[in-house]
Parts: sequence; structure tokens; C-alpha cells
Amino acid sequence: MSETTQIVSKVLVHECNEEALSALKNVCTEHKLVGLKVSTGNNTIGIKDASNEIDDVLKSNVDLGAIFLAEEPDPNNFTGIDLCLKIHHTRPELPIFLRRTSLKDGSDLPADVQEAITGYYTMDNLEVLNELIKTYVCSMYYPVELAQGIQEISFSAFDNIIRESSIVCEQPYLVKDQIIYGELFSLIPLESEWCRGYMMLQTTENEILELIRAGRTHIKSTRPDSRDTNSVMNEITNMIWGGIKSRYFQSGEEPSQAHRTQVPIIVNHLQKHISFGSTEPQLCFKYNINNKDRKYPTVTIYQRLVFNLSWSPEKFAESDKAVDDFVDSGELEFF
Amino acid sequence: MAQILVVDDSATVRNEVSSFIQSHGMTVEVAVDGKDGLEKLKKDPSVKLIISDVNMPNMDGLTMVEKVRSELGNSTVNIIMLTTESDPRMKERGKAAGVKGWIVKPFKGDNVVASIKKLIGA
Repeated sequence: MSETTQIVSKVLVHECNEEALSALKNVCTEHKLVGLKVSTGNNTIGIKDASNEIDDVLKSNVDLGAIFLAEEPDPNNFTGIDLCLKIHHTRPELPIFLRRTSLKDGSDLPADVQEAITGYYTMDNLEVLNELIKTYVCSMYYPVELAQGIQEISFSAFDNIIRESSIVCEQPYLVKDQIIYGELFSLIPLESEWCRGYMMLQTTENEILELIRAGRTHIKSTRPDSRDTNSVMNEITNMIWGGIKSRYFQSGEEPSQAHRTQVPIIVNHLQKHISFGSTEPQLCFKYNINNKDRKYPTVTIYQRLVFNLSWSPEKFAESDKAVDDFVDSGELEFF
Repeated sequence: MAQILVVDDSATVRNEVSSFIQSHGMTVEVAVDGKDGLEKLKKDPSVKLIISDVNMPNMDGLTMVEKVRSELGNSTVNIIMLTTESDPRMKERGKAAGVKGWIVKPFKGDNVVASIKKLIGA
């Protein structure tokens, strides 16, 4: 990553008022939000189709940070109030912000709508929206240096396991979504004096199988199966985990016993949903693994860091200072 | 008879390390964990070098090293740990058990081969 690296967040915007859209763009820029505008402005499609268009965007973006809706009807007479219930039902972890035209709260709305909407704002008081974003989208601070380091470590691990391929990573971003991407995910604890949680990698099995068949891993099987894909994911996870431990968890001290709490992790296979018991935003990286000769389809791997048990980023800075003292990975240290 | 025993629970790593070693004309046996490593070494005590992971199911790499020295009484086989672990306390434990070197993953195949040549002169 470069010096211009930022930690951003992707948000879905359903807004047809030009003035409001312009103001939202400024707000997004200020908070480093990447807006995905979903349009239902085509009068040839009905309300059902308009809803489906949002469904499609939600399905193809499992890594969102928030939803921005408007009370005013769009060209299909579809309002944010109509949409919010369906969105909240399918993605209850996503905060929904509703722009109102006159009232500044939701006291006039049905109870189920009030339950679905996280906060309200009006055009004449955008400061409320700024506060909502700070509270619900950017509520957890992740040092850019940490994001850079994790990305470097991950690139190194990918390079070790996957041959003759190019790996691209988007800007790291904050995610509120708890949807699982693909069929294959790994989970490993990250524990130190300044953080306790998990690293999770998610990908699709078929793409990993194609990668193996193309001879880009060290798996030699002529007919690779799920055991082989598991092995590849296992080692990528292990190497990244080891790299993070070596680089950032070198104090040599175990986390104090007083902090050794745990919470259940709930996986709902039907909904493809995983909950760590925390609603704080997760730090997410999206890696695309490609090859010039097109011997295998692009492999997408989502890497998420979920510090659901303990998070003290101010201590991370102190820990990072010790990095220079370590032996580089890959070098033999003779005893 | 193999010159080198590679012990790692990851098939990916076993294949990767074995390929590098074999491409330099050396012979390799593999084991899937510490317990399997001990068994393989019992069957073929002529192994000159063990390259082992630390974190493995059934028996971890450092326990295996300690058993190689104590239970098998093999004090001559060279041992390198190839692991994601870099905790100084683990290294000390390895050193006390007679580990000769420590490589932190991710690794470069050339470095591993160079290390092997230094240790066993292959």
C-alpha cells in the first residue's frame, strides 16, 4: 500500500434528490465512505423490480458499512420507508439512515419501521448525519500502519503458497455486514495485550480448485478435492497468522487472565451469516488473485479482522516499535 | 532411505519443501505430525536432517524433538524448525532440546536448501 492508503467503508445509497445526493457525496468524502448508488429511476420497471435491484446489490456486496435511504418517493414511488423493512430483515446488522423531509425523527412511523431505522437526518441539519456515521459506521479506530502491515504480511503469504499469479488488494475498509462470502472460510484467534479476536478468510471453493488444477499451488493431486482446498486455505491462514504474531505480538507476555473472556460465535448456514457477538465494524481486505494466461478464474479472498473481545489500538503503536528487533521471516536463525 | 524428513501437518508445505529439496538431488520422507515423525524416524534412523513445523495436531514439533533425543536416544540427527512461531520462549525450548536452526514462515525455498547444505553438507 502507498502513503495514500486510507481505511474506507462501502455504503449503499438510494437517493433520487439531486441536492441531497450532492450533499451525501460531500459527507461520504469527509468520512471516507465509498457510495454505491442504487437506482430505481427506470419507469419501465415496477415496484417489485425496483426492490429486486436493491436485492441484487445487497447480494453482490457482502461487505457494506451502512445504507442511506430517503423518505421521498423515487420515480417508481418507492420510498426508503418501503425499502427499509426488507433490507433490515435480510441484513439486520447494517445501520440504516433515513433522510426525512420535515420531521427530524421517526415518531410518526410504524413501530416496525422505527425498529429497522438506525437514525434520521434532514438536509438542514447534516451534522446529525455526521454524528450517526461516527457512531455507527466509523466507531472503531484501526491504525493505518496496522492495515498496511497486515496487507504486506498477507501478500507475502499468498506469494509463498500461490505461484505465478498477480495479487491485487483494494483499500482496506470497515464492514458492518456479517454475511459469509463463498463456501470456504477459516477462522483463527488473534490474541495479544492490545487485541483479542479473530482473523477470518472467506473464499469460494471452486475457484481454489481451479487454482490447484492450474498448478499454481504446491498441491500435486491430479483430481483435487475439498481436502486440497482446505489445505491451501489452512496454510495461507497459518502463514498470515504467524506473520501477524511475529510482527505485532512480540511482547512475550500472555494476555492477562482477567481478560480471558469468550463469547459464542454463531454461524447460520442457511442465512450465510456469522456473528461474533459484536456489532462493531470489522477491518476487511479484499484480495483478487489473477493470472495473465487465464488458466484459472479470478480467486477472491476476503480477509476480516474481528476484535470482538478486546481492542486497545493505542497500545498497538507501542508494540509496533519493536519490529526492527526481529529476525526477518524466511531467514534461518542458527542456534 | 531418506536424507531428510519433513514434518508438517500442511500438505501444501510438505509438498513445497519436498519439491525444493528433491530438485537439489536430495531424498525426502514426509510425516504429517510429530507422532508420525517419530514413527518414520524409528523406521529410518539414517535420516540426517529433520525439518519440522511446531504447531501440529496429535504431537507438536517441539515435543517430537524432545522425544527424538530422549526416547529414541538419537542425539546426532540435525533438526531445523520451520514454523510461523517466533516466540523467544519456544526458541529457547527448541535450543535446549538440540534444535540447530529456526526459520519463520513464510520462507524462500532457496534459503531452506542453503540451510540444509550448511548443516549436512549435501
